[in-house]
Amino acid sequence: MAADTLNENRMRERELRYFGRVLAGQCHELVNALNIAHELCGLHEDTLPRALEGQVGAVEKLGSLARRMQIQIARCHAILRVLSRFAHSLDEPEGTYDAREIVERAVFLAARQARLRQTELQVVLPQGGVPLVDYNPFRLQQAIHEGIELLLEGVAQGRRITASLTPDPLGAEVKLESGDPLLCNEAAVGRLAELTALVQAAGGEVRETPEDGGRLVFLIPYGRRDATSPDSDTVGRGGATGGC
Amino acid sequence: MAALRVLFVDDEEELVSTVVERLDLRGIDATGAMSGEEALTRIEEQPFDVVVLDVRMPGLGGFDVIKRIKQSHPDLEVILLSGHGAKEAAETGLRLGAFDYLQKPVDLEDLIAILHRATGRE
Repeated sequence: MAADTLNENRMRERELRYFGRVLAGQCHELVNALNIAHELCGLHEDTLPRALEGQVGAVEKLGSLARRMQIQIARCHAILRVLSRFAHSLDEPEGTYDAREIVERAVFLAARQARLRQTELQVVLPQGGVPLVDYNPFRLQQAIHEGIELLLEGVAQGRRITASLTPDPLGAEVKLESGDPLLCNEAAVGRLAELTALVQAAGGEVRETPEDGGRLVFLIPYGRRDATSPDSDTVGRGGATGGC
Repeated sequence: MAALRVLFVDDEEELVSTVVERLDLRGIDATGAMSGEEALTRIEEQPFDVVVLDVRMPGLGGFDVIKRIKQSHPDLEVILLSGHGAKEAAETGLRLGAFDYLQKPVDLEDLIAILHRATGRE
């Protein structure tokens, strides 16, 4: 089997694992919202007899409970909207897309992990003008998400990770910053090398790595280069496999 | 008989406040905590008969919390709450000394029945 095919198969397997991981995580988020809605319905049921008896405040309580249920329903809709776009992104061909949407989506998908790590996640998008760049939408989204995960491993509790998108003369620049250096172990360095390969497969390049500054910068060029799966020689170039 | 004193621990604030209110309506003296760390502080501050603890939380997770509870308050019963498909996690909790576990969403009457069993108030 040709090296390119092997690499592509490896990349596909990795995509599938990522897809499953995201789906499972978002299912947990949905279940959390549904559990709350379940309890709110229970409290609504508990309150109803008191409202029928005319107890002071009980009718207002029913209204308040209905609004709180609506919040959880809206939360479920937001998750499902993102999940639907996420699932479709696997089918979408490489092409020209709105980079803002994909950065926003990757940050949304990483929010659960950030919360579990007690880290704030912030997204900063350009005000005017939509950067239109050529990339593999699923892989770029995966690269941003996995970049955030990599930073999350090294970030101190209570810190913030910022994902920002800025237009660049060559395309669009995605910057992930935590202020804390990459976790210094073999696994983290290996994952950084894998991430570099993923960014290349998405049609971009890694400009800076978080090894010493907690900053990961990708460039997604306007004119997509021939970026089929990278061969093993290119994986990790640009300091991505260096020690820490 | 004195009211059952229950500490309900989950990182979803809305879930905690709602369950606490529902337990209160049933004559149970319920207190909420939004993290493992807060739960351990509450346990030091006031006495409880049972702790109802979510397995997966930011910071100190349910397993860490149950280990610490069993070290400092070996007689305090803990009931674990787990998400979908988390049977293995629940079994780990039982090995760590949990009295029982329930899968979310919890039927409140089932929870109350377990609370009573855990405290010998059946």
